[in-house]
Amino acid sequence: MKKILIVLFFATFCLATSCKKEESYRTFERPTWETTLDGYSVSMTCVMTLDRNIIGYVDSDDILAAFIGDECRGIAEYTKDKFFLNIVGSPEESALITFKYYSAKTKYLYQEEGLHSFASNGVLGVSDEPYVLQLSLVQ
Amino acid sequence: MTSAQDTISLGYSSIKQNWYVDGFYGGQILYSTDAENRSNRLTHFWGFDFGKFFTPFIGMEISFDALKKGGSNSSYGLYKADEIGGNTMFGNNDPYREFASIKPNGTYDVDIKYLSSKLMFFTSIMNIIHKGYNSSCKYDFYPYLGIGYLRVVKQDGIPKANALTTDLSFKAKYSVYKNVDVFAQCGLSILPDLFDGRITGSMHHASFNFSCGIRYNFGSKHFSSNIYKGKDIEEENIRTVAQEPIIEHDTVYVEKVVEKNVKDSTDKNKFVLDSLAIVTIVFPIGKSVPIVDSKIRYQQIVNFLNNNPNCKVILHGYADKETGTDYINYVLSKKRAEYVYNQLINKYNVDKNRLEIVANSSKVQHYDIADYNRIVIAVAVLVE
Repeated sequence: MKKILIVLFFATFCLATSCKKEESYRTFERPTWETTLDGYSVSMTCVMTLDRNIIGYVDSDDILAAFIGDECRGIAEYTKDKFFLNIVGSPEESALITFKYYSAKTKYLYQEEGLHSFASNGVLGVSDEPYVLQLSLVQ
Repeated sequence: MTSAQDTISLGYSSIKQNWYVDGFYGGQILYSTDAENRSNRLTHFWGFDFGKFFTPFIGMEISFDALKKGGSNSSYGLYKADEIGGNTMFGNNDPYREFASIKPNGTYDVDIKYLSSKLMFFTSIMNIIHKGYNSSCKYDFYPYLGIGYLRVVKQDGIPKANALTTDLSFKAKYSVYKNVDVFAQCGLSILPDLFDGRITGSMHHASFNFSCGIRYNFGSKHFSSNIYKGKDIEEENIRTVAQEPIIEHDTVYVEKVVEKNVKDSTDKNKFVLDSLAIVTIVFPIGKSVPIVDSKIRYQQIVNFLNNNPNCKVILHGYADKETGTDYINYVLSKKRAEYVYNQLINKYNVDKNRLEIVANSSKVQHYDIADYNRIVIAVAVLVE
């Protein structure tokens, strides 16, 4: 009984004094994305929003853009908790889209990669039911 | 040999007795609605308490702890600090965010500084099992139940708050030294919503804590018996004595008195005194075997019986009143007397009809020092 209590005592002491591991996340400067419209004749429209925990930090300096490969194909406008985005492309194109989102307030960079393909005249989300981006942190 | 006496000793403690003080340290975890993806929920938990046993079975404790309770907020909650239109509506602008490190998922850790005091009542599991306080039992278990007052200190965007809590805990203790115990405990506090400035929609939060500590007991534990319930013992050669004055003489004086009576009295068998203490045998605490099982002590009894055929010897067993309950002391005093009885019969061939056992429990204390009251006194009486 005595030994059990001594072991418990030291275990409690070690647990309680164990270091709080401060998690660190990479932050970025505001990116300067620019769209490339040359050579693209069609587009798809997106109405999107963010996860409820992140939407509260949206700032006027935030930026959401769509990429196909390394090419920026559209930059969103933010209105009333929604992002409105036109993605330009070629008529036969069906490449995967990468959405990138930069939060000016927290300086985190997020992305959603490869979940959707470009489609001429395609629609991703509507005003009444915007698409919620499945963002992951870029480290 | 002896049927067990059906006795319940309630016992009570005087105001000055059975106090203790504890110091403890450990950790705590806050479980709160909407606290998502919290990575560092474990925070320090330390404090002290002092308490008292009112009876072997019931005690009361006042406990104080402080420091921090950890939680986690998200960006879409509602906060008391963000009042909209008076005190009836609240927004989601948490002022604490200005001081917090926001995680990628939008949540942030919040450490709430607080002070807490609790009034707890507890019972002793081992004393219940033993039907009273048993000084030889080194370990014990205490379940607690009580209420507390939590004061959240105003800090970094968190408004000050006062809250009543409901507290449960369990403590296991072990005696390592005379007045010092070590213990391990775990507990649960039920806190009302809003205590940390968030409006979660839940009625309560829960905080689980665990710690280890040291207890110092002021003085020895002692409970006085005030009630006996039970049937009388009817045993051949064994009886319980309420109170009986004993006149003490050393062996030499007894022999002289005997001689005097024999020489001076026309009736050689007549004694001046009704009873004479022949020999005292001392026992250690909690034991029924003498500290020194000296042959000369038994021989003195044997010699007296041989020299006084019209006498018999009553073996009075005693226990000190500072340890044990009345029932335990009764059993112990009886066992001590029985030990001497058996030694005289088995090793010295004394006729058992010339011996009698009396278990005095701790009702009679011949000396001020407890050690001197753990004895068997062999008393000679005239056989009528």
